[in-house]
Amino acid sequence: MTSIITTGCSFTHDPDSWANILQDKISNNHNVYNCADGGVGQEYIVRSALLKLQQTQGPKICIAQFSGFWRLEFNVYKDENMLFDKVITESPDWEHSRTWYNNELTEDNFFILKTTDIGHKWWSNRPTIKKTLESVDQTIGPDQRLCWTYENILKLQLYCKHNNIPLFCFWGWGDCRPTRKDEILDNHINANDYPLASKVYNLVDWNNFWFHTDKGGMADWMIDHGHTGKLEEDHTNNPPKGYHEYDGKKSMIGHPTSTAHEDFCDQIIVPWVNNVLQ
Amino acid sequence: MIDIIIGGCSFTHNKDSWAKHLAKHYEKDSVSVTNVAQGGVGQEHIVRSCLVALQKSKNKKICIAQFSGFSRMEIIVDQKERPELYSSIKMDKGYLKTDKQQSDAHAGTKMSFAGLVEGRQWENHYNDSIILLRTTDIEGGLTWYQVKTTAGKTLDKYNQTVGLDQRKMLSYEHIASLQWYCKLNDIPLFCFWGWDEYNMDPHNKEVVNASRDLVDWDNFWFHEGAGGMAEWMIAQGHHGCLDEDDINDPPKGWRFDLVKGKKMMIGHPTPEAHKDFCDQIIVPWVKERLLND
Repeated sequence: MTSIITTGCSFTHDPDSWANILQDKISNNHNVYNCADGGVGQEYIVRSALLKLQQTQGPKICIAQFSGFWRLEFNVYKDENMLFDKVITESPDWEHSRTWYNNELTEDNFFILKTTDIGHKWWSNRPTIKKTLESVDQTIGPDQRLCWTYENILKLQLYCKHNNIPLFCFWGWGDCRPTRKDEILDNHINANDYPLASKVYNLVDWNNFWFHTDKGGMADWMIDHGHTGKLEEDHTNNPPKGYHEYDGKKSMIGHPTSTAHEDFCDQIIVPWVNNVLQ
Repeated sequence: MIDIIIGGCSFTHNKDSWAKHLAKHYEKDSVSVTNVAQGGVGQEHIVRSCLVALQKSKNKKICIAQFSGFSRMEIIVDQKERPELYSSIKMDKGYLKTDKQQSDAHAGTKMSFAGLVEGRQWENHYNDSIILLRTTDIEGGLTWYQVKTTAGKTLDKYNQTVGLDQRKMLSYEHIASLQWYCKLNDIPLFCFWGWDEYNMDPHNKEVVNASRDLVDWDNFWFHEGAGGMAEWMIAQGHHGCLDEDDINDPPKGWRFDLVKGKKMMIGHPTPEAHKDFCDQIIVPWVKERLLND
């Protein structure tokens, strides 16, 4: 029996995601364990996978969907952080933020504060959280966040290589990191804009990373295969379309539909899994 | 040609550190010593600097990493990304903590922003447009920045946000990453702590210990169980630099720690202590690796 450890953000955590239907598409001799969680960035994604991989005995493989480079998480404990008491009075996204690291640890005295993406201000009506996360956003710049993103990917790649664990990596969507036009063409990041991240970029094994066309992720693959985001999440178009179009390129709005997940799972994930398991 | 890549904090970066003695030891051999250590930094900066230097070197190489405080984190303030924060930090005069540090700093013309001169030593080179803000050791109450300065306020907020459990997990994960990289690339690696830090129990032992277990502790040098370089030096009769001892009168360079029940170094090691550590601990390990090559 091989354990299949999947990790990612909501694109992998959602009930109808590719990871949550994978078990039905492979032999029952193998066991899928999904440790993804909504709204998280690379630090959580990688740590939850590492924890599960460490705990899991026997043969195993890992599939990691990476998310937005802007995302950071802060583990807030009542005993060590004065923010705790103030924050709970502001009703954060509670259930989402208290179940952590493989859903095995739900603690009353703990939650994860998530920045989520640029422009996402889920905390705007919560003064303490707003003050805290805005301060973080004003302090930690894009270069450092991108550097951390690459370091976390590298961390998981090194662990898996060191332990002979087959690993499949991909971005949830192409814009998980800055994708200016020249970067897309050169498949490289600009060292002038990202002096720190560009050094770590070269340490990542990009040959061990799945891309749709040259820099795209899962959502881009889905769009190019005629899928859309969930229409109920599209507040931009009327009637809703589940994508927007800019400069001739379509980008998904919201999360993928269950049909899109099914197709991605069938065409991209299952063939890789079966190939590795053979 | 063999490249020796060395990482660490001030315990390795300071001009008379063991790293300098090692370079001197091998100056006539076909061995190049590159010291990418930096004062005040934590595991993240130490490991990144080593990885980048190791990746850059095309020769055969070995790596020696001195690790520092668990709670240390660094924030990159890039003038291009954060122009207001950058200029506000740069304008602060009260950057250094003590009156003596400030008067010493202001005595030199180029030192009007003394701390910032070091703050702009970044990624092993000087970069005027980038400041490396360092939390240093919050557990020990050591801060480089006056609370009322922009740097102090920024770090204070960050310190209030990022807890010790998270810092410990990151610390262990960085050390493990360097170990995996070196193993996968057949690079001999020598790891040790600069000093034996107070190691408070984590809030969530299960999760933090899982990160701790990622580290190969058999590939980690200790002095008597948990000690680092400073403990080894103290045990050999050395002490910290006397001019850094503000506790004893006359200064001794060490104090007796009641909790640990042993002598602890105050400040940084003396040049003699560094030379002794280099000769007795580092050089024999390097020699063995070079003989094996």
